[in-house]
Amino acid sequence: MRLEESMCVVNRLGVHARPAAAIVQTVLKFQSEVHILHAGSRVNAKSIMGLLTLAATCGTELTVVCEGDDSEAAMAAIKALFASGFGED
Amino acid sequence: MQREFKGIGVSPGIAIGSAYIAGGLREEVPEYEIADPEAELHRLGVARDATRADLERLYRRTEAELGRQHAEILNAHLMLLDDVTIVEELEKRVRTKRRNSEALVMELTRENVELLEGSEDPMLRERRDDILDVSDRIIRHLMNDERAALRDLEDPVVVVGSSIPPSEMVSVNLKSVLGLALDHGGATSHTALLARALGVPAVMGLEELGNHVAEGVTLIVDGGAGLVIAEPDAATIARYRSIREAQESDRRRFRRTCGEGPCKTRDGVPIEAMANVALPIEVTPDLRHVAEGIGLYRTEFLFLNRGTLPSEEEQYEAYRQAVEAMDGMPVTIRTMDIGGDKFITALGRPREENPQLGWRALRFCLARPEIFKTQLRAVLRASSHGPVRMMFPMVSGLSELREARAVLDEVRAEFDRKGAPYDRDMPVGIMIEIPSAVAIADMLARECDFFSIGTNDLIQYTLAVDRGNEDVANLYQPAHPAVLRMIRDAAAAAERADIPCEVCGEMASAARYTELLLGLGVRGLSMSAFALPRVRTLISRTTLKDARALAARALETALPEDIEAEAKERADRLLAEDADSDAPFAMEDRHAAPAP
Repeated sequence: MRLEESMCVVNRLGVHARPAAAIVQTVLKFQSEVHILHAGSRVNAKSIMGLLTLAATCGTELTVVCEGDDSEAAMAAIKALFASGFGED
Repeated sequence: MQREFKGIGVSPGIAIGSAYIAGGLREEVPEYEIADPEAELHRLGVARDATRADLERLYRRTEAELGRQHAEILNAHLMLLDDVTIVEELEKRVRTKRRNSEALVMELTRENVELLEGSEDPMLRERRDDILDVSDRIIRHLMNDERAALRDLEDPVVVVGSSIPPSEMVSVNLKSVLGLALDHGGATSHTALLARALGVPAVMGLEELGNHVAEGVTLIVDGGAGLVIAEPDAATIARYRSIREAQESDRRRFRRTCGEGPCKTRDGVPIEAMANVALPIEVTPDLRHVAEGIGLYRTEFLFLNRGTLPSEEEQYEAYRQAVEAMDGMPVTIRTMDIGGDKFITALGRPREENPQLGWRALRFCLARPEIFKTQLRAVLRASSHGPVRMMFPMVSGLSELREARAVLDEVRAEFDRKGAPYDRDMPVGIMIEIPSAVAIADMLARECDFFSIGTNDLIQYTLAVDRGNEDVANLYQPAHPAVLRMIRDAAAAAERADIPCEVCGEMASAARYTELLLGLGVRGLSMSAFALPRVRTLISRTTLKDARALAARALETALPEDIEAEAKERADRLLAEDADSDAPFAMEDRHAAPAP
């Protein structure tokens, strides 16, 4: 199942190295393909390099796309991670 | 011809051996067109598999030898090796550009590095080193480069290089690394921490030493003095050999004379001798014999060289291991003493102009209560396994102490609600390292359970001297009466409030300051493990009466140099009491610890 949801970066420091690693580690637990869309670019959420190139600062709206059998669970986990400000704030 | 290079001594001791120029990273690779992209992709896949096997083997070895915290860096490298963006981009380029993998890996690596260098986020810059490190491994496999990596060295050598990637340092074969002489890095780098913990003499900050010495030339590394001598003449080698022998024989002698268990002055005053620990591997079985506990357990190692914050579980594991290893002796865990720059991205926040006066340690923790609470929870959980003391760094005023205690109270309330076990009587102390804390020491003493004086920062802030700056380093004077009065005042305030006052800074490790500190009212000294036998021996040979007389003179002296000389001469004499008169005597200050 393909799910698409918009999420906001709420931690003050944005998606820097630590949050990027946290996203990768979360996504790797699921079978689904997860991509993040922002300002015309589309990156694989299992890639630290990809996430860093987004340069998503605090307040940025990102579109998360999950495709696969466990897409609901994957989306919920990613949503929780974003909402927690990646455990930083 | 003999040449000297001055750097920063980050790990004491003397090494003499031939230079091994650490490979560093390849700058040039062959470049050619390929006919069959599928065959080339297969070749790349084989090299990546071999790299993965290397990293996994290193991970297991490092985890077994040094612990999981040190192995984390290799996990980060595995993530990069299999990073889909990189892997897919490489595949695409092999197919479209039809060039060899070495050239394409190098090309993509350079692009990624450039991308990361554009950022001012220190965390991203660390990833840059990791990307270079991983690519280099792949390229070496592609080229069947047999040149020994540091970890595969057989013959003992002195390693010379610009810097050692962290993954190399955790995996070096220690038996073959006599010493380190590196262009980059400082006393607080992860490589320096490891070198000290592993007892490898090291000097860093040597500008371009690598360009001035050839592989195989003889080098002397004097980690205490921060000096490297290339192609030393016979007389110099003989001199350093005898210093090294003297240091070794001193070490054996003091280990015999220092006694075990509680430490006392000659006139029977108990002085607590404790150990400073920066890495888990420093908590050795022998520590329980020469130390009465850990007076400073630094937690920074948990936060270095990694892309993620350590979890509560991971921190708890590390603390619990130390508490259990000390088996009933107190472990003083200092909450993280790192700058906010370890966590922030420059997006929106410029790098600090003056980090020493900036957003670090407790200031950072109070602004990031979730990160702080994770650590406090881990410490509280560890306190159910044995005596733990908690210590806050960089306290400049009463409100910070109260705020920190309030956060701790919240975490305690959480534990109470859950019925989770912890030590309700866990002492909570503070570092005294900012002059303002000394000025209000009486107020602080009423609201905490112990003081521990961090002399390095206290001296730097009191005298406004950056010791790392050559032009003013001579003004960094531990025996300056202003510094000594600060220590006296802090100790007096602690005594009036009936709480212990200890010293955990570098002054505690240097025997020439032992009498001064005791005379100023300090009753606990926490130091590097290697200094314990020497300082304990000295404590047992001095009397409080003599120590007080020396301190009284020092407090009124106009010339710190004179007091320093007198104190050193007294320490040397007391320590020489039972020395074999034929043995060369090692200078005390060569053993002085480098800046923590």
